[in-house]
Amino acid sequence: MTPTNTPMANTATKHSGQVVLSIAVVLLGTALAYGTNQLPEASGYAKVGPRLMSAIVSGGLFVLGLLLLKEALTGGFRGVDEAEHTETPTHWPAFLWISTGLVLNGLLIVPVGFVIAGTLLFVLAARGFGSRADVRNGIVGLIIAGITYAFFTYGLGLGLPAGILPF
Amino acid sequence: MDVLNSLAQGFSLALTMQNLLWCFVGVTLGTAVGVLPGIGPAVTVALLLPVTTKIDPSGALIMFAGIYYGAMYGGSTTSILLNTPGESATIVTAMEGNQMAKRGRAGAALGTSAIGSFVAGTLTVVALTFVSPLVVDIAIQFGPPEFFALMVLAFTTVSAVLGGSALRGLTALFIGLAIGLVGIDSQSGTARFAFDVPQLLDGIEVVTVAVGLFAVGETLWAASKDYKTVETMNAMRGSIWMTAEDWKRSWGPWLRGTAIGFPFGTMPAGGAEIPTFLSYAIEKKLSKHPEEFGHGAIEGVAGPEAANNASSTGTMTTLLALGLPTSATAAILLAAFQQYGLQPGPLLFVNSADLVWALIASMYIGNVMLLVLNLPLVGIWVKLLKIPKPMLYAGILIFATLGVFGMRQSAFDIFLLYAIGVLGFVMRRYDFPTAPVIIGMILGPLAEAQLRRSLSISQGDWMIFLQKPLSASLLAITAAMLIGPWAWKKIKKA
Repeated sequence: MTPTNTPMANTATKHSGQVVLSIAVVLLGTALAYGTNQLPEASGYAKVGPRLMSAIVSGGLFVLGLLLLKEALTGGFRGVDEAEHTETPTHWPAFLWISTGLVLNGLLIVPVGFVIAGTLLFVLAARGFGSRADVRNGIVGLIIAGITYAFFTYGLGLGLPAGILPF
Repeated sequence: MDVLNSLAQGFSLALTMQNLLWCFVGVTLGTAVGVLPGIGPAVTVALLLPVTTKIDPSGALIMFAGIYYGAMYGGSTTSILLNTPGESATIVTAMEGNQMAKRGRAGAALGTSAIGSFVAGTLTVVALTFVSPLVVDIAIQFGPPEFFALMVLAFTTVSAVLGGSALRGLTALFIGLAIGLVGIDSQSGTARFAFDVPQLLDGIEVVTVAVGLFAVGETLWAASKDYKTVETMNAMRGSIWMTAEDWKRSWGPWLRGTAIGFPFGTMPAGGAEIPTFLSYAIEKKLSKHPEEFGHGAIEGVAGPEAANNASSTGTMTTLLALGLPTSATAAILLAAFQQYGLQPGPLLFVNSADLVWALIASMYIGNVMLLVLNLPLVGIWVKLLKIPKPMLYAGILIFATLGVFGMRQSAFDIFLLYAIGVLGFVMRRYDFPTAPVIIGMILGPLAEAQLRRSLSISQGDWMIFLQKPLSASLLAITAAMLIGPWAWKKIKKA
């Protein structure tokens, strides 16, 4: 924290990520409060039903979000070193490779099957970690996904999707 | 004696071929995931939850418990040989053990931590055997208000007291509680926050949340943030068979570490970090060679490793006897019990005595297996550390999709897994702890049930929590812990 009087606007831009995150927590609390209001009133004389706990949780998130916002606007979350993060900026391509792998896996696991979807995920995730040996990674991924599939489907009888493969 | 009879009964069940096999699979897997960075016992048990539909409860729970305490053995190998701790509880071992390895004493460091873990593991299972029936005797008289107050206390300690910031810890806890709300309320049948999505009506699976936060979040982080860290591996040098001098310097720290670790584990003050640091500090004070600390003192490995292992058994005691999980892994073990319609806690000792005692007996056996796995066979585990990062994390992701999809055969859960992975990434970026999310999600619905039961008994009168002496004192302790630090600061300022 800077000892001199940092203008509020400056602090806010410095911790803009924290501000957005705090507002998201407040909004989550608000949304849950709205949802709680849609729940039916408790019946019976004890007046306890499904509403009580959701009211506690939504209220809690709302208040915690406001407290986080206050920290974010006044010097940032306590004990979080933002300088450390600007030194090593997020390597977004890596993030995207892995994200693509997982989203494709969700789309393909049923129609194409666990083994092929898993192999593809393996190759894309390995790319995220900087490995470009796609063919070799594909073979390794196929072996891992294949053995896992065989073990869980035939060994334990857990139904994993075969997809386009005949077995 | 009653306890010894029950234990003998437990051994007769645990020593069947089948259960010995599950125990072996559990401790082997546990050691492996303890050694491997990027995957820990919590994720592993979560990933294996789908198998609960296929194997019998005693086998599955013996295996899951084996993974939990097995990982404590494996974690030290990584800490000693790599310059990064395998898990947070092995930070101290990473400092001191790594220094020993740098001076060509890796063997002795691995030896003292494996034997120390065995000593601590075995002594604390004995403690568990005799302490848990006593706890059960007391807890069996608890009513809903007492249980609710106990859970509130546990929530507070795991989220607000431990970790860097009470505010961020509590936020994580409440996110977990919110996740726990999703789905059909078991008592009234009302759907909450499901938006008519069929997959959400059934609730969000523990596997998806645990694997998303820990495995997927960790993978995203390792690939996009941690790419600069270069791990240097220390060579496995020096005999793993310790010298007479090493033995002489190790046994005291083992016993003291055990004595410190077990009570910390049993208390709902979760986490193995505090006892390991405490043990380190004590050994440094007592040592005849305090100057060696920080440069590879064997006491600094022996004590904390024993404390680490002892606290994990302590956590098991609280889980079994009170039904209270004080760590993320314990929370997932609780979820595993629930898969079989079982609820850990005092009634489990009454209703499923066979199962509980077989599980306890298996822990004696598992610790012996682990000593063999980690001492003469340590070379095999060291090879695991040579798996290149891209292969390791890509492989973890395949297992992640296996566990999540296997739970209820729904591609929807894979997308949810990714979304929770991103949440885990964001939480890590802004230094929010993730364990409270898991504990909130699993313990939340149980706390809600106790809360509603209490209020039904009192016909809606909240004073019931203050009228019972035990629940009133537990709530007072909770309030003191939440307000105390804040009030202290105000007083100091004034």
